[in-house]
Amino acid sequence: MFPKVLKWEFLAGKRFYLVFVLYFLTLFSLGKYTQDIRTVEHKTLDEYDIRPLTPGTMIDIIWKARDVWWFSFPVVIAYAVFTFTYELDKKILRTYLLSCVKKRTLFLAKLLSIQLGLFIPLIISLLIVYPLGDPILFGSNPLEVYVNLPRRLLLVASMLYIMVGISALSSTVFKNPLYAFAAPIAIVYTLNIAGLRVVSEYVPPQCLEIFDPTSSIGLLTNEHFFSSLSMALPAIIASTIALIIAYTVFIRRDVL
Amino acid sequence: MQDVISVENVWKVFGRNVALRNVSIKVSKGSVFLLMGPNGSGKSTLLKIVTGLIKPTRGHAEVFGANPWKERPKIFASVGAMFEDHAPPDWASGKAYLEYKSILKKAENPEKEALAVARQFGVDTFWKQPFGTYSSGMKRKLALADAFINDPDLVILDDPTVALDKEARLALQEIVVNRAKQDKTCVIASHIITEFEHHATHLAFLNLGQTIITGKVEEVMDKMGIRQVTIKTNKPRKAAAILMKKGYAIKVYGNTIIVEGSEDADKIVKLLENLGIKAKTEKPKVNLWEMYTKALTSG
Repeated sequence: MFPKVLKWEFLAGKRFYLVFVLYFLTLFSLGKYTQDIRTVEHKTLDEYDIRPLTPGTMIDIIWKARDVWWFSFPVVIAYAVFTFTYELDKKILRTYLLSCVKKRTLFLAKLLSIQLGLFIPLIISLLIVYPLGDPILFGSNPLEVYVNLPRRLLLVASMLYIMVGISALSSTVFKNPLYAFAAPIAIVYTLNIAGLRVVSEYVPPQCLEIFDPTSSIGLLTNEHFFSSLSMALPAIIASTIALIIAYTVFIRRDVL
Repeated sequence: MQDVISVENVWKVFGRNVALRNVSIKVSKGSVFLLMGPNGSGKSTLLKIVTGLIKPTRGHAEVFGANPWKERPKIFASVGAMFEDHAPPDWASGKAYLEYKSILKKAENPEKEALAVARQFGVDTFWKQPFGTYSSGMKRKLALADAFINDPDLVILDDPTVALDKEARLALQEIVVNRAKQDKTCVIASHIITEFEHHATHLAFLNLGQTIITGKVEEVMDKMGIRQVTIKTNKPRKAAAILMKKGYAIKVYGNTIIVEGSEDADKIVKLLENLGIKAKTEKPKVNLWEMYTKALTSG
């Protein structure tokens, strides 16, 4: 049953994935990526050399983690919250539940379709943007262009996961989409203004602040990559807890 | 008869509002069960408990021997239901929606099943349009078609005839009657239902969240002190004149005469036959409106 429900949730013509592809494309392309040759200095005690930047780096340098977070989180939360609250609307929910579908199946399918609805456009946009960043390299060695793509995707996916977790909980608690949207936005902004930065502090790409501003995910060593990921862990755990609470409330609540 | 639905001492409380107070009803297999009561009497809440959408605060409900709150997916293999504000997503077409619901109800051939139920209510004439463009009558037809997917053993309909045109009302009436002949059960809730008054086998009146009266139609009439004999005759005018002369209170509907306040059907039939008028007794002709009013005022 789950694959069929997921297929309906994901493909039944209600999601404007293209909008998200365009959104991410714009987001990642707004930087000054050009075909100019750029280099980065590598200094160690023993050696000094200047290496050309990898293609992904061209984009990453301009769009450092914090920018991606601040630009994408209101949009992602809005999408997740409004989709979720619409889908959890009691009338719509009731029409689905008057059948053999389990509440659990429905919740998970809706959640996964929202995650995929964000993640797939993200992959598509990165697949487009990287070659655009270095068409010459793409022409000679297409795979080389996508260096570090899985790592970048993993970090951004964890960021999306955190946002969807907040949205799912907010949508389940607040039935009104406006409140459901306003609550996480207000919380995140208030915490940041107050200097607490609890939520965004854990967002993995923000961890890049500790590195040289000219460096990027594309140049990260394994050590730095795992360090970024481990710093994101508390937020991922918090998001998972939020999802579990949302799930529990959803399963136990009456569908009036 | 086997009970398809059994509700025992059910309470439902929403905050400070008590929606149901100690409600008990039983619905037998093959019956056409009318659940009646004014707005806010708790009909929809009761049906939502029976369909597993909401959990009773206290008491016990069973459908086909299973707890609907815990085993809703299981019972919906043999149950179809519609509620007043049925609302698929606005972007979905009726066709896509019915096919999807057929999958969710485990139909063997979802496309074929969707088309079959759509045709019953004339939904197939507009079902390619998105739901958001439907009129209230079209929405209601789609909801009805949805309820009858997979020809379920039990169909629960909450205010089914609101906004329906005459053709759809007649189609629904015919389906309900035919289903009863096949020993399939229908529960219909409304504040007043004239379409089904002659086909109802069981009744329950609810008011302010309480069951006023419930049982077979004859039992309910008896409990309410409604005594009447229904007679079919070939000479209604002559028969009516004779009965009036004998002091009976009567109502005439075509060839049917209802003799109110009397239980002695044999005596009346004999009286008419002795005067050369063919007469035979019939199943009591129910006047739901009268019963409903009496139930509410006395309850």
